[in-house]
Amino acid sequence: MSRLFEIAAGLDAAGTGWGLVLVGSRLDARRIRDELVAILADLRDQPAPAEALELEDAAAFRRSWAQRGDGVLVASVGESFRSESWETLELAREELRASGRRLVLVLDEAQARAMGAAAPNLLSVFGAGVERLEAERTLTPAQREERLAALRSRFSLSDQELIDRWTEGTIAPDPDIAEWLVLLGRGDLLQSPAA
Amino acid sequence: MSGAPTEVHDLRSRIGGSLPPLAEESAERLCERLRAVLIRAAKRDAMICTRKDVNDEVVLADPPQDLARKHPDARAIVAGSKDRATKGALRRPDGAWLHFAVTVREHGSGPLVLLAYGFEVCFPGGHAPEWLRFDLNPPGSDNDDRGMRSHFHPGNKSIQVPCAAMTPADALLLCIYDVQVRHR
Repeated sequence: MSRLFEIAAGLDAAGTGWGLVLVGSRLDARRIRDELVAILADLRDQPAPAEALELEDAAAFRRSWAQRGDGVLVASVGESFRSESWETLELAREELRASGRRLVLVLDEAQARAMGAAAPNLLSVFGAGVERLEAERTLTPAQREERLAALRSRFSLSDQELIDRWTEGTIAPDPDIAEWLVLLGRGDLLQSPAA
Repeated sequence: MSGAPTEVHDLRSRIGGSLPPLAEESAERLCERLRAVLIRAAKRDAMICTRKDVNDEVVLADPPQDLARKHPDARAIVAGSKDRATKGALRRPDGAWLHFAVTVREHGSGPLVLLAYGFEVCFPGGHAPEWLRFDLNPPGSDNDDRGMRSHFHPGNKSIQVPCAAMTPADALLLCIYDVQVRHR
């Protein structure tokens, strides 16, 4: 199950309120921010309802808040964002929320701890709108085996026979073969298309 | 097929067209794009699956970590069962259901390379044909010689008809909205 997609769809369905996405140690907050913006754009019929932003200067961000558009603002924090900036945002939280504009913060664990230490009242603004995101999960082992069994049955070949025949060029290309090779960790046997 | 004249090969290539570029740079992003297509279709009542159905059905199909370590760049996104008779959760109001698989190659930075796909619409009992499938075969000499890398099967795996190569999102849209039973 895609947690990021579920989070985005939940934000889309909620329509209002702020959100906080805590990303696990193996994930990059900026990449997650950009993917969240892209998913939100896909979920809506109107173009680009969400905007990505990297917070560097909370005071400047506070001043620019009123000039921003109406879509959801999805923000990560930059390297220069310090505890004083969290305090600035905490002091401005009611003013920012009163505008009705939605803010979603994407933070890694260290950034979330820094926010909690410097701006505990800001953390409380998010309330129940805090989501945790770990690395994307894929097929379970049982699901993978089920698909492999179906492929073996369809072609009446074992995994090794498939690999042998593909490398020998004695089996016709088929999309199921491409999937089969990927499931076996042999995607290297798939050529890229000619340029 | 192998005995077809050159002009037929040329015709197949023209119908198939160039491989469309993908905008996505990761398999995760493409996976989320395909989920979004289905969710938007459900909002329009063109699909009757829920958000949870879409989340559960459309998944990455990476190999186990110990196998992926050596060859990490080719990845797959799959949805629904490979058993044609199994009705998955990706259903249309007319009773048809969809399943698909897409294989791509990542390059770290830059767009994904589309390697293969299969998008299938299965119809409820008594319908003819029972299924229709859009295929993009992986690159290989057999396809390239015949100009039939992109084709569809009208309910018979032995019959292939050339068709335009599509992005995975476009192929999914076609299956949702255009492969429909037209009533007189």
